[in-house]
Amino acid sequence: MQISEGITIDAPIDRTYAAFADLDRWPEILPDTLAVDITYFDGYNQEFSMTVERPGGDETVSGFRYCRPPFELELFQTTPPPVMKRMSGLWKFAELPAGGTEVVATRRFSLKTVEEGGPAVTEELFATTLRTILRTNLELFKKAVERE
Amino acid sequence: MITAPVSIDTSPAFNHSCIRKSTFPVGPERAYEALFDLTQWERLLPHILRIDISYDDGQYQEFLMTVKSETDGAPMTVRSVRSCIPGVIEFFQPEPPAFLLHHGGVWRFKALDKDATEVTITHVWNLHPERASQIFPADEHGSTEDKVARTLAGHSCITLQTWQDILGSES
Repeated sequence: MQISEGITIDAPIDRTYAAFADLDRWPEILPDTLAVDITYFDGYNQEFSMTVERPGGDETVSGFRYCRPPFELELFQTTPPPVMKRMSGLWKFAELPAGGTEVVATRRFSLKTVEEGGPAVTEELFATTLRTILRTNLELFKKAVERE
Repeated sequence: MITAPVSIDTSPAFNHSCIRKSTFPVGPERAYEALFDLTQWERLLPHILRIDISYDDGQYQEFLMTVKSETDGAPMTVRSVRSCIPGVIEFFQPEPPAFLLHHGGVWRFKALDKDATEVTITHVWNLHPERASQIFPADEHGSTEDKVARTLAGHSCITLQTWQDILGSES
């Protein structure tokens, strides 16, 4: 299952990209992000873990990102959220002719079955929830970048 | 003006690189598959003692590879992370050899005809200056930087030759 959400941020592409790229800033931008630990970063490849607050309790995910400033951040999680088998994604950044930056966030995921510990909902229904989280996060980044 | 995303071999994050090419005597699908399919490496590659795959979703992979020592010492285990899309395999080592701060690279596959593929391997790296100069001291044979580059280029050539031989015996 793949979902996408987009937003326009009234800021230059470099500044917009930098906010998404700098994981150390995430806890100040996203209220549900409790902790971030970057265990490797060479300027292109990055290994990280992140703990987020969820209704069922705190969840820690871990994985890798490929950082391609200022156009693209690619993500995959070797330890996705507990209900998921897989989670990967992409943020794409594009300069708009009239100024500002368009950000499109895409996520690909598959859920565990109920027997494996997955949710008792279809992927389509789960995608609705995930899309809401994605949209909320994009709006929080927009606020953070535009008030800089 | 840059208008497209960089890849690992065009990223400004790395100060050093080397490129080596070879022609594999198989089509591009088989050449890519051979490099992609970690489950066959223990069987095909004699210097590999063990592959432990911790993650593989068909595109992204994380694994431990234990190889025989080049000097009859203890076997060495390296952790690798790869992103694989047909035609391109990017890789890096989150825990690189002691003489490097960072190490990664990319395999690229270009069809020449149905039974020939040009395979390019590019390594990129940043030196750990102190450790590199201890392990590869500058002398009349070259600078530390040159010796590291020759070592990694040598590994590239051996790897290309090994796969060329393996795939040649299949065809």
